[in-house]
Amino acid sequence: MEIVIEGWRSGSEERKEAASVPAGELIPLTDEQKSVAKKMGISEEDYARSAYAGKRNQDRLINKTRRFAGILEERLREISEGARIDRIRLVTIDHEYRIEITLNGRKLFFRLPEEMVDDFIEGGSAEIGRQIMDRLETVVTGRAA
Amino acid sequence: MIDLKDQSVTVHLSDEGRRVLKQAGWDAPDTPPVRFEVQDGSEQGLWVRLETAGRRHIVMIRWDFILAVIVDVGEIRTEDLVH
Repeated sequence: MEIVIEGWRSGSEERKEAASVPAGELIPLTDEQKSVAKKMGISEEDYARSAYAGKRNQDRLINKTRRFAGILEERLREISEGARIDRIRLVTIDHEYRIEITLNGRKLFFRLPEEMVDDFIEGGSAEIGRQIMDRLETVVTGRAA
Repeated sequence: MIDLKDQSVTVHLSDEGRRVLKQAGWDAPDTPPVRFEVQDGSEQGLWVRLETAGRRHIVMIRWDFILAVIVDVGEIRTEDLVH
């Protein structure tokens, strides 16, 4: 299974962490990144700190997605033995999960608002968890309209 | 409308917008673009996070004062997870 995090966000914890990193420990910018920073009118250090915070935020999103993927795959196997998740992609700007499933050689696509996943994984909402699994079952068993 | 919540953005403010923010007590940089972390977006404008004197504030900047917004969407990262 492949996990793809498309983009990042400006989490406050990650920004604080990035602000406290000594300048010498930031990843040096490529020439292209330096050029972008200049065009945008922001300092190279600010750009580098922003990228640092972004990467740390992606770590958090990967961990969340990994946890969710594990639960989802377990439920998927209960619904249909031959089904598997090929890719789970979080498009951060759209706040949406896009999941590709293979079932008996057939590709299925399952979309889910990220907010539902947050309420389930981070908020511990059993009700939202049930709704997610109901949606999954509907997509897999072909009961969608 | 794009959901800009929690995105890092570079905003080009109008002179009037910059002046209003200074009046509100925020020491805006003199460069045309300013970076903000978005708390939320609405039809009226952008709610952004500001830190002044160690205190966090949420400020609404009306679209009337915003000339352009550049969103730092970020990079794509891929990881393999063993089944």
